[in-house]
Amino acid sequence: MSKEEEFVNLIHENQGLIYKIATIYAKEKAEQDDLYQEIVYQTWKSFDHFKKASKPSTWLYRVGMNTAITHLNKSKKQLNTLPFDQVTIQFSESNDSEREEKIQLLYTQIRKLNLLDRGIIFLFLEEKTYEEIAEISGISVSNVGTRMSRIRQKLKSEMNPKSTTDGTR
Amino acid sequence: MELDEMKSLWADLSLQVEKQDKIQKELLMEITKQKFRSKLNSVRIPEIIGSLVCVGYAMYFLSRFGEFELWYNQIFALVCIFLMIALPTASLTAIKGMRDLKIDTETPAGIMDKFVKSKVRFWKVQRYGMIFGVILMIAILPPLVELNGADEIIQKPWFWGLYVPGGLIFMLLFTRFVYKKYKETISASEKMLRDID
Repeated sequence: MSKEEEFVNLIHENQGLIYKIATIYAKEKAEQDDLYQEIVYQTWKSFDHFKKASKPSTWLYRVGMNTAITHLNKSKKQLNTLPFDQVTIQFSESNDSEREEKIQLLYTQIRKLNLLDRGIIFLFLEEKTYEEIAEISGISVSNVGTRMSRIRQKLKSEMNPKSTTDGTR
Repeated sequence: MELDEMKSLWADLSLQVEKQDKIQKELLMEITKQKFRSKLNSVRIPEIIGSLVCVGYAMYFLSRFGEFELWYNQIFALVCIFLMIALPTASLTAIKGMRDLKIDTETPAGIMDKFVKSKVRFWKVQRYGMIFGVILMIAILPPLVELNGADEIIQKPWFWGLYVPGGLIFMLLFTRFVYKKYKETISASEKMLRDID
């Protein structure tokens, strides 16, 4: 299999992952599309390292998160999205409007966290263990624990402001 | 909302995302190639043109250095040659530092730290560049005048009337811009570094 084919297969299999990273780091649709394309490009640029990586899944999470952190800080005002109609990120919305609303609320609250915490909660929701989160994000396991409890409190109070003020769950 | 509920929502979302239409394989390579071309086009043209102009002038002074008869013009020319090579080199190196972050080997915490530091370094270079730019603006004039035999021009009051205020206004505007960007960068960087701790 050629390098291009391997790369295309990797991206094709992980489009959902890239989509989710783009969505938690960027708010507007145009920004999300731009970030999506940037992650694809950066993955290609570093693809030779991917083949040598001991844990390919960790590698892709890291490239995606690092691209989001640097790209969003570099180009806040100018987007460089290529005009492919077919490349725009779309997915069918669920029929359950209440659940859909909750998903949107979850996204909104995650986007309020700082860049590193956004990545940590994302990895947590992706069912990664604290050890894996620490390995991918580059902080210690105990720091992951501390941050997780802080994030938990923050999300809980923001998503359910009433329960925290009333002292109810 | 508890974490368990968030996880369940996220699992639903992941299922939805997996079900969505995927971008065609052939388009993925096309995106990559087009993005690569657009990156090449966005190479910082102003920095490169500015650097070429500076190096061009430095070469010009070097090639005609033997023609300077006045000792102070020799010193001014040496200062100019040094600045016209050092300033663009420092600026391009700082830009390279920001662009060369290892996306695939660094961790997100590591990349935030390096990104912030390289950005601060870039704006520090711009700040020093601004100060040395004023020195260059003054130092370049006497040797240029001697080489071109235009002594009478610098004796005309209108010349100074245009050159000094014009130069000062430009430097003032540039200074304000750099100082504002520097302050913004420092405060954004401090926030990002606090987020890592």
